[in-house]
Amino acid sequence: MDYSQLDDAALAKEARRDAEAFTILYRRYVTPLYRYLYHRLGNVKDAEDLTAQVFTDALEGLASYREHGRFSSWLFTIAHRRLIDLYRQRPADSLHEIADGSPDLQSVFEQNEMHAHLDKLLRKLDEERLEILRLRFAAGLGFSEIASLLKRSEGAVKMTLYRTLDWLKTNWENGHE
Amino acid sequence: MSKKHTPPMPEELEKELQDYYASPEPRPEFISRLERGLHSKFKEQEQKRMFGNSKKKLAWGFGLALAAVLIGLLVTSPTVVAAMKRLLGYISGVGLVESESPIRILAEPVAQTRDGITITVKEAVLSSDKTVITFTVENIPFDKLSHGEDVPVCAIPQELRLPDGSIVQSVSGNATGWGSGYEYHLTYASIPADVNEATLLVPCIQDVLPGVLPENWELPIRFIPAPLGFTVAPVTEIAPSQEPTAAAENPLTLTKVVETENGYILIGEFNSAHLSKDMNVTAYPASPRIFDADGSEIPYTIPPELEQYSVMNGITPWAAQLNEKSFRWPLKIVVDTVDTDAPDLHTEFDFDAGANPQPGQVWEPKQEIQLGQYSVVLESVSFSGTGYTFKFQAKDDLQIMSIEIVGYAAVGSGGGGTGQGDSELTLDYAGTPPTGLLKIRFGMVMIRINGPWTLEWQPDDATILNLPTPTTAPQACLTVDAWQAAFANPMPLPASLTGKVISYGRIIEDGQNPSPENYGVFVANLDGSNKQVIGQGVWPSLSPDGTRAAYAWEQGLYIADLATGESHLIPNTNGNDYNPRWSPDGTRLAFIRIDDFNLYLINPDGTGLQRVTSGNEYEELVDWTPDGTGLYYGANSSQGILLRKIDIASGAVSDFFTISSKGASFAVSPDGSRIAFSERVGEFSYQLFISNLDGSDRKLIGDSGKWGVTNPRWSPDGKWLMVGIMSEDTAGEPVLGLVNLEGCQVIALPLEGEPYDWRP
Repeated sequence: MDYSQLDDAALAKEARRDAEAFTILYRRYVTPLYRYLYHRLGNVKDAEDLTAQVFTDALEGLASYREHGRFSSWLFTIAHRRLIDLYRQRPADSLHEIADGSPDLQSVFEQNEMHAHLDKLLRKLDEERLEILRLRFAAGLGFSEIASLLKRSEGAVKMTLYRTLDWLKTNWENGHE
Repeated sequence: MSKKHTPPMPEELEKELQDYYASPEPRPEFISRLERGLHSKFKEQEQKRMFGNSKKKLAWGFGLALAAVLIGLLVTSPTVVAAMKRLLGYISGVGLVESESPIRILAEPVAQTRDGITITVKEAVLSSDKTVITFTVENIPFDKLSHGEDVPVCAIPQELRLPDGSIVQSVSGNATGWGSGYEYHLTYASIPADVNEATLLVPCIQDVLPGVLPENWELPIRFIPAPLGFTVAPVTEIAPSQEPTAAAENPLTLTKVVETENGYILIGEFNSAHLSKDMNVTAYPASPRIFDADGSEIPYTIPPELEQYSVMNGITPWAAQLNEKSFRWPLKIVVDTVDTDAPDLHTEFDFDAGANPQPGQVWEPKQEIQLGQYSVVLESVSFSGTGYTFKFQAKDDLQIMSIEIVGYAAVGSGGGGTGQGDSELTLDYAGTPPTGLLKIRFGMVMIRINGPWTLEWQPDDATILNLPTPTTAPQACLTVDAWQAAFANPMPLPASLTGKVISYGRIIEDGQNPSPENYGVFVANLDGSNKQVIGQGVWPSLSPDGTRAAYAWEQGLYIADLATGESHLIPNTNGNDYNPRWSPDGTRLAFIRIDDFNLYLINPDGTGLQRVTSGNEYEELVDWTPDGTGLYYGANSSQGILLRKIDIASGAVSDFFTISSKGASFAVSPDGSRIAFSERVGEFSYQLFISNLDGSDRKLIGDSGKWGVTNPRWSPDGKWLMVGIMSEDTAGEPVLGLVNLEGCQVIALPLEGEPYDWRP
């Protein structure tokens, strides 16, 4: 069977015995996970560090992956756990400082006027809305995946996202100083 | 005016958000390094699964120590090499054995079945230095495997009990699995020559929760002298370096050559000690590459019994199995680069942060620090309030991987670099970070050393075997050259070639950043025209009349009406259903349900759900029989994938032949007489064959080296095969290709993806 055609659940089962199946899962998720963590943490080294930790945890914990849950939700649950660990290790304000004021993130956005503008607007959003945006656009998760990850109904996630988009549209000019 | 003054349209806003969140991409070197690291970790876990954790570590450690001593002797003492010359033999599947004393084997296979699970001891080989036992466990029901319960699954090792009650523990081994079963290949210490009986103890079935399947298996086995025909290939020891290189000894050595029936196995080492006189380092070399005298790279496989992941005393073993005897001699073996960690380069330096550093404070010491023969510059240090970030720039090909402030344990640390000698390392502290004069110590330092290191080899009778002409190319139609020519100069399709194809592939153009949601199902004419995207989904199938597509996606199986473009979920299917295939009359769908890994049928309206197979073969659906009365499927077994057919009405099963590869895909010809299959040979090498259903009259159609050639599909008239080809030319996306089975013509279609059906 061509592993690349299998879905995540079937791959995760195969991955208990076959390194190749795990590699395909890894390749499928490394970029979305990294992007998500990068936008949580705002700098390359923390994002890389946590990406590596999350995949290592996933590899070690494959036996505890529940088939009825989605693999992506499971992987991002691990990521959440790791983020909490990191927040415990470092005072929250220092991390916020990194995410908001990181030279990495700033230099990326300075190159793109539109991104810089969006960045200003996004700073006005609360964490819950930001998280849904990150999971949707950085991690590329579907509504049902986000819902199961955040333990909300799919409808609630959709509503929050659409309202956030609406808010961004309405406040588009306000973000420009 | 600037675009940002105008509120974007909703879809523009989504696009902007996607762009915003899509950058930056992870660094490629980070992705590949992590992938390698995870692969090693996987192997490490596999070892743990086989040998358990606590007490078995001792046995494993002992085995390693013994092997290290042995290899140490081989390397350092030519006399020992000479003395051992006559003793070693190679047994396929077992590895190197001492062959002077009589070899014993298993008297007869022993099988036990309990609650439907069968354990079979298939093979045993006993030499004066080791005992190798191969056994299989088969027919494990899918629902008995661990499904996420927080209970440790079985991971207790299998021991041998001798008649006097003594226990022999395994020292190494490897395993292969195929879903419903696995095969273990375990190496134990030698068993005294006068002991011809033992009991294999299997405490439990791997990966299964305690108590759900029979435990404490005892399989009595007997050993007899190997019969005359038992093949022990002679091993030729290669004398240590006859051509010493100018200054130091070559770290790359060839130590043994095994001449097999159809080729050679080369066994050697990379010895870090000969890398640099000044450093005591352990080098992690890339696998050697082998070239013939013309510089053509020769593919090889690594016999699993000789594959080793460990590095002992700085020596990394390597092995390469060549499946040919005629080459343009001599062969050149090359190691290009090695990565080393340099434990002896640990150095400390002082950094004065002052009594009261302020968050945001930056120092730029530009301090040069000597690390053995290397030097690194401390470019800057910054203080965040909770810790420090150190930036280094090395002059050489060196990277600082970790540092510490002596006397203070950091709670968080991170680091990275671009691979250009720069490193950025952060240390964070739980309470107040240390201040004042700090002593900084380097932890792990990685150094890339560029070779190449080479050596040459040819057998004594090389002149007889030297090839007068270039290597005999396999008589395949779809070769690397043929495909490159077809891809570079796309030819118009012959008028006789028409029809529709349904594929899985990229449905949204996304440049170099493919994301999962940009892949899905589409239908197009063979010439690329009338491309109709159905949407996200996998495993598509096009109805015989070409009007409907079935596919699998999140909630179950779906049907799309191509005229309206609308899709609906088929009732009574679920997210564990895959690979729907339309019956020849278009009235039913066959599919796999991985709730229990069996084949099912369902009507397109969701009625008539019927299970066709039962049992634990973890079936792979191939297709319907042309008359619609049966299904072809692949059954996973220890030998590979067995092609079978089941008659739907009676449930009668007939067997055809086994494809000895895990990565196979198949298609039965429209008249049901031939089967096309792509087979993965070696690690990343693919071949495409057609044969009769019983495996006879096998013909090589495609030999595409390391390219992926997948999903063969027959043309409606059975004269062409369509495949998905992933090559260096196709920028990471498979491209559809055609190969004519009569005239050998190869055509690249203007379509990406992997084909699933070709309808008239």
